[in-house]
Amino acid sequence: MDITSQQNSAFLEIVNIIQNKSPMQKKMIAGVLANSDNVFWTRVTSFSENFERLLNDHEIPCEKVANCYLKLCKDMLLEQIKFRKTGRYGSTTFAEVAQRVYLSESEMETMVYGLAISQFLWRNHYALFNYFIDTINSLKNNKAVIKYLEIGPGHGLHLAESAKTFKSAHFDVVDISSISLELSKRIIQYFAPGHDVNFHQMDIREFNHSAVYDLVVINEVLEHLEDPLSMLKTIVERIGDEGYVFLTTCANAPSIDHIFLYESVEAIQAQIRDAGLAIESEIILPVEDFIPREEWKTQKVEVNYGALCTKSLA
Amino acid sequence: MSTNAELDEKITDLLATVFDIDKDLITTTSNVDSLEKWDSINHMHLVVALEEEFDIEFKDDEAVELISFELISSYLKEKIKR
Repeated sequence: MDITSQQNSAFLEIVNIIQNKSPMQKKMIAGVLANSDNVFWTRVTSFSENFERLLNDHEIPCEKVANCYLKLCKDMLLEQIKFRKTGRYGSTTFAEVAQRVYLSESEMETMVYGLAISQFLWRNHYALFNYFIDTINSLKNNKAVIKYLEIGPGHGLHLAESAKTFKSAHFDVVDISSISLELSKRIIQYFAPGHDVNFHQMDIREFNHSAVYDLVVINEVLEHLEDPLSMLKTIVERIGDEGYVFLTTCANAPSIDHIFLYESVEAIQAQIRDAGLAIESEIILPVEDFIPREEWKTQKVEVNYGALCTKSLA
Repeated sequence: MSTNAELDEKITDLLATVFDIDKDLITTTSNVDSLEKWDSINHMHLVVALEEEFDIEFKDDEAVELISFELISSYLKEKIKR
């Protein structure tokens, strides 16, 4: 299977628009598509079919999605430049980011649709997505996931994979942004139709639910918080002794809505341990993978990180 | 900066350093397509290096548009003139 399997697909149309508008992206995408395997194309085919129905039903042109992706790339480049010069992220408070991003429908659309596309086009995003799918499939074979909690589902593609994997589980989804939650709901309707997912618009700390969860998923959220350690401790209280936490985050990865700067992978790992979690498996993905690990911190190398954790036996 | 030739030489040096390639590979027609190592991460490094070297600041749109030797040269001439 290769790019010819995508003739007339929404994904290919979006990619073509992106490539026509950005020479930089054109080169990067050509490299990605030329080196992709059957698993990639199978995932893209499934994504594209569902996404196309969503776009058609909501009269969202492919060009709008392409523009969301390009704006995401531009915003990220500008934040990276500032970060290189200052060593800090551009935003420092949640309130500031909420005003700038979470309360803005257009900014949230940019994030959600842009990241849905980057999920396949950016090497590390795709690797994290693969790691997530492999991990939940492995869990499915080894543990009964009856109660599932996801915090900040974003574009909802991970949630959709979980809904398809843990078919009979009870799903709670919590997000502080009503706009984000609506977009996640929309994705679920098309990518995992028929699955009963309970969406709650609130801060997880105010989510007064007595359930003990078998799996809590928190992807790309910790770096958006002022106090991610507090969030992790809250999550630890929500899982059973045999429960799991799947998380992804990043170090040295500026974005318009990132607040908490992890300066190294070790800082992420230390915080996980401080929260009372033990790392069962992990994936560490430096963007500049030719730089030796001992230089990542000093050279501010951006690293994507994912881990499956359990409660520490303290 | 006194001459265009000196400016071109400085741009060539910077591109060679940031992309870690031989200077001979760089010409005034070089661009994102012709230089394999000109990817998004290196582009970010390039913008930062240009700003530091020439003590200037690019506007947001300019930083994104600097995708060829010619455009870099053109923007720099404009900024240095001010």
